Amino acid sequence: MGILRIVSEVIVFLGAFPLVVAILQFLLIGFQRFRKQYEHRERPYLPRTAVLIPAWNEAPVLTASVTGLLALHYPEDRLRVVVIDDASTDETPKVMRNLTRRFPGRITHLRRENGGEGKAHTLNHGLGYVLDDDWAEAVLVMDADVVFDADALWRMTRHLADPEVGAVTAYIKEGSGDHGNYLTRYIAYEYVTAQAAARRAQNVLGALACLAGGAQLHSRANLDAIGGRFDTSTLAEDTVTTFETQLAGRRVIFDGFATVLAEEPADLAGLWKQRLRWARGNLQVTRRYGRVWFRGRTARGEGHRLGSILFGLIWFSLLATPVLLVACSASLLFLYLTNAGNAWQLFHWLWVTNLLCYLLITFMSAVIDPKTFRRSWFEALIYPGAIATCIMVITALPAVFMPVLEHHGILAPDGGIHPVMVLAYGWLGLCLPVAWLAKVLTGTRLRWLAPVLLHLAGYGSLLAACLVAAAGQELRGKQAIWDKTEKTGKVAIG
Amino acid sequence: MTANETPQLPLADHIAELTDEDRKEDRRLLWLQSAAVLLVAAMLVVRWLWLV
Repeated sequence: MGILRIVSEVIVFLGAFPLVVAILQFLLIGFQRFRKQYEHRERPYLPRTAVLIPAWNEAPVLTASVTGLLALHYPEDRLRVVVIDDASTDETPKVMRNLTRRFPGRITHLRRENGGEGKAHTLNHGLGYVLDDDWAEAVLVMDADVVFDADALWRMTRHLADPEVGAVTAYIKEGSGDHGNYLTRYIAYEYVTAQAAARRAQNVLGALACLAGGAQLHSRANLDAIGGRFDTSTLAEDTVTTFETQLAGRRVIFDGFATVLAEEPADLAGLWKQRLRWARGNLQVTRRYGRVWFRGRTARGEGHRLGSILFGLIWFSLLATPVLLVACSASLLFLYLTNAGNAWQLFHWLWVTNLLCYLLITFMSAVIDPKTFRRSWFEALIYPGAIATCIMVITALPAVFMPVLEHHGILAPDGGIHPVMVLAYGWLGLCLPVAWLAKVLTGTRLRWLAPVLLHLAGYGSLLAACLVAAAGQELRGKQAIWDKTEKTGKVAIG
Repeated sequence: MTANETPQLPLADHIAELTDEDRKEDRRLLWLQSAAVLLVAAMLVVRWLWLV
């Protein structure tokens, strides 16, 4: 029993691990100013850039994204667009005929008659075409639905003036604006934390986890160094490219000022499908680069920092989140049922730590992207879930709330076991199936309950539940299919 | 034309101006981040004083 208690207590401490690692990451953000990423140069660096747009049934969005690209603040004679039509069955060929007629010499339409193999295959078709002649000095890979800010491209190319930089990625912002709903606002806030904040911190760390698939710029030298093609063996070709670039000794940079709007799923089923693909891709990458993790100083000698301890902690804390949450709440319940007084101390410590991390992350996100924060402040406040937010507030101020709860009979006055406390102690683990249930209900008559459950369980719980599902599919060896997210073109309209 | 040749002057000026702004924004972020950390630390101290 004694050993069981000690193990349980250690597991409760580990429950705070993902948030503590996130905070370590957030504390690095401000230090980007010392990286001197925007050194004064006599002339701006504007390489001849070929833009690759893979397109499968993208008719609703292509005109806006291509015309937006050609209107960028970038010299006309240094920008060419190549649309790789992956055997589209919609109006894509007609849209492309109109565009090539409208902008002669600036747009190329490549058509694959036998498509459907996935994005990486489509990209490789276009990349082969671009690298066939020596015009392109840089290659921008983007999604058909993204809309670049007019100043985004030169902000990305400026980093390539340093030959040590192999690739640059932009800040993808959720682009539905006023047309969005609660889910797109959650995604908008998620991108502030996961991109604008986390990737800035990774710039400081010198190791980037992922080039956004929708906006990644490569120097030609980098593409040559990684074999002139994108990986087709995983569901995360963008992450593999990011790792290969750094393993080949070149740096990867995130430019948070280069912004790009993208259309994101507006319903839970679409989001689940997209994130399942991403999570499976990340699991595949974890296995593939097993030799890289936690190499410390050795890795620096090899010219990259993917093996640094902090980068490894960042990567694995995300992957381990569902396991840690479930184990933590099971341990808390065990401690509560065997010694309620001692369990309260740990429960209190855990949730106050969570509250500190939550406050820091929320404040910093508001500072990093105030515009997005203004739009999604409500989703930011209940991002951990309404129930978790309540638990944080109550445990932070027990002297205020505990007597009230006892007065209303919600707590057992003698410190005994009470169903509400069982729920509170087990919530970290319980919120995962509740979030999953929200996704399940989207396809039923009870779909109106889905947002309620998501608000209660938290957006992060949904992503954690998705990771569990992805791990299950990987363990079963389920066939990896490129499942494209449906696009409507609302970013372009907005 | 290669990347090293000078682009149109208005574009070069525009880029120089915005690059300066980005640099300032990076500096501002460090101060605001420090303020956020201090704010949370202050909240922690206030809570501790209250509980004591």
